Amino acid sequence: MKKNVLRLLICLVLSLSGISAIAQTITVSGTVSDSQFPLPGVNIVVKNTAKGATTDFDGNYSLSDLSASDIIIFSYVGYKAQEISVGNKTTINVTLIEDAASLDEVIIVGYGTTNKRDATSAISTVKGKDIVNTVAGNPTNALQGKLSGIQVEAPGGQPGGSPNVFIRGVNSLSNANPLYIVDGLFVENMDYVNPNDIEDISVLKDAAAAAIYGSRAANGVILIRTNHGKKNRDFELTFTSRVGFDTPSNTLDFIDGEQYAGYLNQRFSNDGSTESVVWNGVNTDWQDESLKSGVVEDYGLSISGGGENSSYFASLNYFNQDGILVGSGFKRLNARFNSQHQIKKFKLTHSLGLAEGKLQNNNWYGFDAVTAPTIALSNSNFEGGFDGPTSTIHGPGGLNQFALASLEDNLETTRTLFTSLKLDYEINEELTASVNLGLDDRTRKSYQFTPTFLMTNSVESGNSIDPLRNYNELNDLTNFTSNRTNLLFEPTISYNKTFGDKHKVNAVLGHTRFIETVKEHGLYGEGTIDNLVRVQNGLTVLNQALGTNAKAVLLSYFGRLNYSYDSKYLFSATVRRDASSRFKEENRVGYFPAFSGAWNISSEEFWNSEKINFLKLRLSYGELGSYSNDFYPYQGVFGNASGASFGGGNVNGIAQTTLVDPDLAWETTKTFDIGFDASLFDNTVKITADYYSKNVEDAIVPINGPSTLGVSNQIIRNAGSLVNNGFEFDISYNNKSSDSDFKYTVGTNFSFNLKNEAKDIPAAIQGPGIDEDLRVVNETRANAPVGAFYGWVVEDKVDPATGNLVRVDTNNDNVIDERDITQIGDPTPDFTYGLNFNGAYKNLDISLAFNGVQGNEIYNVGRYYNILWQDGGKLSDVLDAWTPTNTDTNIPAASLDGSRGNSDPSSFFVEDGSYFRLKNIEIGYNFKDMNLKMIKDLRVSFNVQNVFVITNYSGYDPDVASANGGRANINSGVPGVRNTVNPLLSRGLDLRAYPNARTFTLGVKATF
Amino acid sequence: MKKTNNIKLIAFFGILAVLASVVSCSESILDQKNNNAVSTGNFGSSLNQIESAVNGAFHPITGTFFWGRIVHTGAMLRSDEFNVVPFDNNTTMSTLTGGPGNGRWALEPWQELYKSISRCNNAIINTPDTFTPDEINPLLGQAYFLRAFNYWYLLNLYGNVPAGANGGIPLITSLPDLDNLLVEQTAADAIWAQIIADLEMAEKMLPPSWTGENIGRPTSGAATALKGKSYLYMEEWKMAHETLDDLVGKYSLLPANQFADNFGTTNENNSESVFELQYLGVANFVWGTDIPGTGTMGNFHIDYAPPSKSPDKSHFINPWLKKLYEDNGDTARRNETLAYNYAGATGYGGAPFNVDMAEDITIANDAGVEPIFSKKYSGMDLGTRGEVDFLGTNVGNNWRIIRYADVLLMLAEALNEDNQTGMAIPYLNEVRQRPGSGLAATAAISKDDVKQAIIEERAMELAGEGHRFFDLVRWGLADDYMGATSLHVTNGSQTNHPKSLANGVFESGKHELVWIPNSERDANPNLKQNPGYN
Repeated sequence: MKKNVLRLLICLVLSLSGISAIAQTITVSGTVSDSQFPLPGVNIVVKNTAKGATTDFDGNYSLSDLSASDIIIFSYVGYKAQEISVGNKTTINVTLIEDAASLDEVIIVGYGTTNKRDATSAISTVKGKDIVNTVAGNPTNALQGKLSGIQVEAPGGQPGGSPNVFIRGVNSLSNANPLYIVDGLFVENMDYVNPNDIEDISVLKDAAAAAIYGSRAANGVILIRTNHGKKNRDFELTFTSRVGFDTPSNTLDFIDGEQYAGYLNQRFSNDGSTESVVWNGVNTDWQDESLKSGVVEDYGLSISGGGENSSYFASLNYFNQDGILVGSGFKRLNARFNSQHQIKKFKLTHSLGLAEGKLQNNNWYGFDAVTAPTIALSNSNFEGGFDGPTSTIHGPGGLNQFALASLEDNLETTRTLFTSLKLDYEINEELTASVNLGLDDRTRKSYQFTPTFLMTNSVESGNSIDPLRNYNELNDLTNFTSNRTNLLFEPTISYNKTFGDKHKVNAVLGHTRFIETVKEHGLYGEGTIDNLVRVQNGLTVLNQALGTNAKAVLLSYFGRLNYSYDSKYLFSATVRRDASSRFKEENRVGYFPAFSGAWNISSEEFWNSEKINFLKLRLSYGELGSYSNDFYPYQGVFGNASGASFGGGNVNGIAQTTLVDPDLAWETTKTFDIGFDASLFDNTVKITADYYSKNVEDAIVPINGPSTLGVSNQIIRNAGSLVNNGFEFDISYNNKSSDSDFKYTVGTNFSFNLKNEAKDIPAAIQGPGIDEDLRVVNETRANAPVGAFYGWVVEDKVDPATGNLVRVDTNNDNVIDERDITQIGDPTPDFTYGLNFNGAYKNLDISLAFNGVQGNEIYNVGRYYNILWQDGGKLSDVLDAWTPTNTDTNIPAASLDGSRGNSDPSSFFVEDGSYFRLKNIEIGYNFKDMNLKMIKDLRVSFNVQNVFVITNYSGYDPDVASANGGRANINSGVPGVRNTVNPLLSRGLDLRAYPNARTFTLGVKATF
Repeated sequence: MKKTNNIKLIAFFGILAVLASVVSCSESILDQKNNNAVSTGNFGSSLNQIESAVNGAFHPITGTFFWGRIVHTGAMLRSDEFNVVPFDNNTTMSTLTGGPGNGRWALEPWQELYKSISRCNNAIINTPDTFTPDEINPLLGQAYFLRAFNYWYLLNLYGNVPAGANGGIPLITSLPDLDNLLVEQTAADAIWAQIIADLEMAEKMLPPSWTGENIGRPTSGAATALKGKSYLYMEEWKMAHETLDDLVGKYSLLPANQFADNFGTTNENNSESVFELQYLGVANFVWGTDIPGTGTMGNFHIDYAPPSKSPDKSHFINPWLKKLYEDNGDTARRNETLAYNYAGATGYGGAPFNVDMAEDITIANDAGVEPIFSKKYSGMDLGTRGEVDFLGTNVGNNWRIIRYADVLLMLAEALNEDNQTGMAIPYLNEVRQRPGSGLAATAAISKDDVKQAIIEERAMELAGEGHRFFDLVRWGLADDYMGATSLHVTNGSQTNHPKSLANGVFESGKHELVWIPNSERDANPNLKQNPGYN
C-alpha cells in the first residue's frame, strides 16, 4: 500500500520537474519492468540535463526532444540504476535488476515511508518471506533472533501462546508490550495475523522513529504491512501447504512407582513417623502418557492481481497444531481481502482481515509436582474413569494432572475483524490529504466445562486426600465473552517538495482519535443435570456473574518535519500532543517532542574510501508518553463482590478493593540514541549499530502498598523511574550480486541490554506466588534489576547432619537471618543474539536460523515441585537425596517439616538460562524450468524447527517467558477466566513449562 | 491550472477548518466515567449503600483468609490444647516452629483485619450527615464495633507491645493517605484506648437485639462484652467487672443437655450467644476474598477434624484436658468437646468411637500419643463420616466469639482479681452448674484457689473455641505449660510435651505474639519485627 503511495508521490514530484522541455528531434518510449512485472513510477532522467519522466502504471514512459548522444538513466528504489545511450533507438525497454544491498529500499515508518539512506532513526526491518519459514501458530515467534533490539520470549511450546516481546529491554513496569500497527491501525498484538499475508515488518526502536505515535510507543513500535495486489498484473493464484508433526524435544528423568514408594517411606522415616506405604505395583510413566507427537498443518490459498485503476489481494489460510501435550492445541483460520482503487485524484486503500483462533490449554501440567507414578492410568471404578491418589499409597495428597487435563473441556475462541479504509486525495503535486478509518474488533470466548468426577474414595473410607481437585461433585461451566473494539479515525495532510534540487522537505500533520471499548460478560455456574449438558441454561447453581463495560479515548495532534540537504544532512523533528481519558482533566494532556539528525558522511566530496561505500551517523533524542492499561486508573470505585451473611441469608457488600491515585499523570520515556549505518566492500557487508539510553520518569508503577492501607490490590501511581541502556548491532554479508551460482546472505545480530533497573521506586513490587504457600521469588526493588529473584544463597552441599540446605551468611554479620536474603538471580539476559543464513545454489535453497540468549537466570519452580513439594511424583534427583547414610549430597532430605526451610526461595532452584538454538532449518527446491503451463512457479521444502538447543538448563526448555497459569493466578477470577499475571514481574519463572516441541514439516508452494 | 489549484486549496482549507472545529468541540469525549461500580466520589448517597459498605467490612473477617480458615490453621492451634502433627509450612505457626519467612499464616489475617479496618474507617468517616440518628446509628455502630473487634485481634495476635519496644501494629483510624504509606507501629495502650473508645460508640449506637434478616449483627451487648473483655485483658479489674456486670441477666445459659448448641449448626444465635460470626454453607469452596460468594467461606472444620479426615494432618488433644474433665467428673461438656474412649464415645454421626475412628486411633498410636480428638467445630455433629463433606466445600456453622458463659467467667475473674472473691464465686458456679450439669459447686474459697478454679473452668467450658492461647499469655502461664519444661508433664497430667510431635517449644518474649510478615515489612520498611523473630 505505502509503497504505491510513494511511487505515486515520486511520480508526481518528477513529473513536475520534467515539464520544462526544449524541442528536439528524437522521441523514445518503452516499458520498464523487473524480472517479472512492469514497474510503475520508475525515475527516468536524461544525464546532465533537467529532462526526465516517470513510468506510468503499466511501466510505460515516453521521452521526447532527445538527441542521439543523450544517455538515459533509469532508477528505482530497490533496484540497480541502468544507463542506456539513446543512439538511434526509438524504443528502449529496460529490465531493472533488484539490488539486494540497496540503501534505497523502501521502509515503512509512521505515516509514510523512507529508505535506509534517508532514515535518521533506529529502524529494523524484516521481510514477510523471512518469517514464513517459522512454523508457529503465533507469527510473533518468527521474530525471535531475526533483528537486533527485539527480544521474544516464548511461553514454552504452547501452540498459539503469546510470547513476551521486549524492544530494547523493559521500559515500563506496568505494560512493556510494543505498539503493534497493522496497515495503519493500532492493534493489541499480532497473534492472529497470518504470516503468509505479511509483506514486511518495520520495528521502530528509538524515540525519534516512534515519536509520531506518541503515547503507547515508548516500548517501540512494530509496523506490519500486509500484502496488496499490484496494478496491471495478471491474475495469480498461490497455494501453500506445510504438513508435518511436532515431537517432544526433551524428556526429564522421573522416578518410577517402586522408587516413589521408597521415597515416601524415606520421607516418613526422616520425619520420625512410623507411617509407611506399600508399593501398589503400579508404575505409570505420566510424562510419556502426557507428551505425544502431534500434527502440524498449514494450508493457504491466495489470489492477487490488478488492472489499470484497481488491484486486489485475497487469501485464506488454515493452521492446525495439535500440540504435544495432552489437552492442548491450536487452530487458526484466516481470511484477508485487500484492495486499492485509483479514482481520478482519489486513492482508496482497503484492508480487511478476519481471523479465528481456537486455543485449548492444558491448565494442569505445571500445577504442583507431576502426577505420582503409582497412580494408575485409568480406574473404571471411579466416575470419570481416572485414578487418583490415596494416602495409604501416595502420601498426603496430590492430584492427577493428566486426568484433570483430559476431563477438562476448555476452548478459547478468539475472533478478530480487522479493517482499515484509507482515502488519499491529491490536492496538488505537493499536498496530499488523507483520512484513515480503522476498526479492530476482537471477541474472545472462553468456555470451560469440568464434568463431575471422583478420583479418590475419600468420602466413603475417610481417606484424607484433599478432594478439592480429586472430587467434583457438581460439574462446572464457565462461559465468558470479552469484546474489545478499537476505532481509529485519523486525518492527515502530507507535504512533499524539493527546492532547488537539494533541499528536500517532507512534512506530515495529523490528528488521531482512538476509541477503545471493552465489553465483557459471562458466568460461572455449577450442576447441570448431566455431564452431556454443557450449556449455561442447564446450570442449577449460579456462582458468579461476570461483566464489565469500559471505554477509553485518546485524542492526539501530531506533526513531523523532515528536511534533507543534498541527501547529506538529514534532520527530522516530531511533536505530538496526546490527551487521554485515562487521566483526569488537569493531567490529561502531554506533549512529546523528538528530534533526530543524520549525516551521510560517504556522500561528502572528500569521501573517497573504496572499501566503505556508505557511512551514515545518526543521533536522536525523543520523549514519549505512556499510560497504564487500566481504563479508569484515576477513578476509585466500590466493587460489590464483598458480601456477608446475616439472618441466614446472603447480604450484598461493597468495598473499595483498589486504591487509586487521582493525580495519576503521563509516564515519560526519554530516549537518546546514537548509531551508524555502513555498507562495505561493494555493498556486500552492511553494518548497523546503535547505543541507546532510556530514562523512564514518573513511571506508572503498580505499588504494593502495605496491607495497612486496607487493600491487597496494587495501587497504580507515578512513583519511580527506570533506567535502561544497551548496545546492539546487525551485520550482514551477501554475495547476491556476484556471478557465482551459489548466492547467500548471512546475518547476525546482537543486543546487549547493559542496564535495566528500577531506580527510586517506593516499595518493592512483588511477583506472583509460586506455590500454595504463596512464596514469592520475583521482586523489583529500587536500584536493582526488574523482576529479579530474591532468596537465600545456599551452599552446594546440604548439611551432612540434617540434610537441610546450608544458608550462606551473605552480609557477613555472623548471623544467618532474613537480612541474608539477597538477589539470587536476574531473568534479564546480558545479551540476545541471532544468526541467519540464506543460501541458494541454482534451484536449491537453504536457510538456517539460530538464536541465543546469554546470561539470564531461570527460577526452576518445576524442579522445586518435583524435588521438594509435599505431593506428587519426583525427579530422579531425589534418589540422591540426603538420608542418614547418604550425607554427601546436594539434594535436601525428603521431609514435610516446613521448619527445615528448604522450600523457601533459594539459589538451589536458580539455574543459568543461557542457550543457543538452531531454531530453524529449511531446504527448498524450486522447479523453475518445469514446462508445466499451468504452474508458474513451484517450490517444495523440508523444514525442521528447534533442531537442537545447547544449554545447561535442567528443565524442558530454557525459553520460558513468564509465569501465568498454574499456581500463579489460581486465586483470581473463576475457572477458565483467570487474571493474567503481569509478565514483567514473573519473568524467568519456569512454573508452567509446556515442553517445547521439535517440528518436522514438508512444504509446497505453487503459483498458478 | 493555477486557478483550479487555488479553488482546491480553498476547498481543502475549508474542509480542514470544519474538521478542526469538529475535533476541538469534541474533547469532552475524554470525560469517560466508570460505570462498573459505585464511585468513591458519591459514597453515602443512600442508606442502602452504607449498609452494603458495612457488610463489606464483615467480608474479610468471615472469609477464608481470616476466621474462615487461616487463623485457625496458624494462630488458634498454637494453644496447649493441640498437639499438632507437623505438615510442611501449614503447621509452622501452630507448632511454634515458624518465623517471618513462613507463608500465609501471619500475612493473611493481618491483611484481612486491616481490610476490614479500612472499610470501617470509610463508613465512619465518609458517611454524610444527611441521615437521622435512628437511621444511621445501627449501621455506624456496627462499623465502630467491628473496628474494635479487628484491633482486638490484631493487638492480641501481633500488637501487644509496650511503648518504646520494637514491633506491634500501626493504628489507623483515618482514610488511606497515598503520600504517607509507610505508617509507624503504635504502642499497645493507644490501641487499647481506641478499642475502648470505639466500643463505647458502638454501645450507644447499636440496638440491644436484631430481628429477621439482621439477626447476627453486633448488638450493644456484644459491644459491652468486648469492652469488658478488653478491660480484663488490660487488667483494669474494676472497669472490667463493672462493664461485664451490665450484661448479667440479659443472656442466659443453655442447659447442659444443650451445651452442644454453643458451637453447632443448630440453634445458632441463641440466648447464650453474645456475638457470633455468621457463616452460611456454600457448596463450592473458593480461596480468596472480594469474590462473590466468598464472604462466609468457613471451612475451619478442616483444622478441628481428626487426622484421617483432614487434608492437613490435624492434631491430637493433649491429655491434660481429658484429665481435667475426668477429675471434675464433667461428662456433659467433655462429651461434646472431646472424642476418646470414654463410655458411649462417638465419632461422626453418632457412630461408636472405636469403629468410626479406628484409623485415627491407629495414627495416634503410631505417633505415640493418646488418641484424643477435638469434637467442637470438627463436623462430627453434621452426619456420618461419609456424609460430611466439608473438605472441598464449607459448612455454614457460626463461630461463637463471645458467649454468656465466657462473660460470666470473665466477670468472676475480674471480681476475684479486684479482691471481691466472694462476689466472684457465684458467677463461676453459675457456669459450672448450668442446668443439668450434675457438677458440684467449686470448693475454692481463697483468691488464689478461685483464680485456679476459673482457669480450669475456662479450660473446660471454652476448650477449642479460640480463647486458651490468649488466656495463657495474659495469665503469664504460656511458658509454664508450653515452654521447654511443661507443667503438664511435671504435674503428671501427661507424659509428653504438648507440642511434642513437632518439637515446638514456647519461648517467652517471643511466642506471645505472631511475627510481622516479611512481605509487609518489605512494603513498609518502617515496621519493626516483633521481639524474638529477628
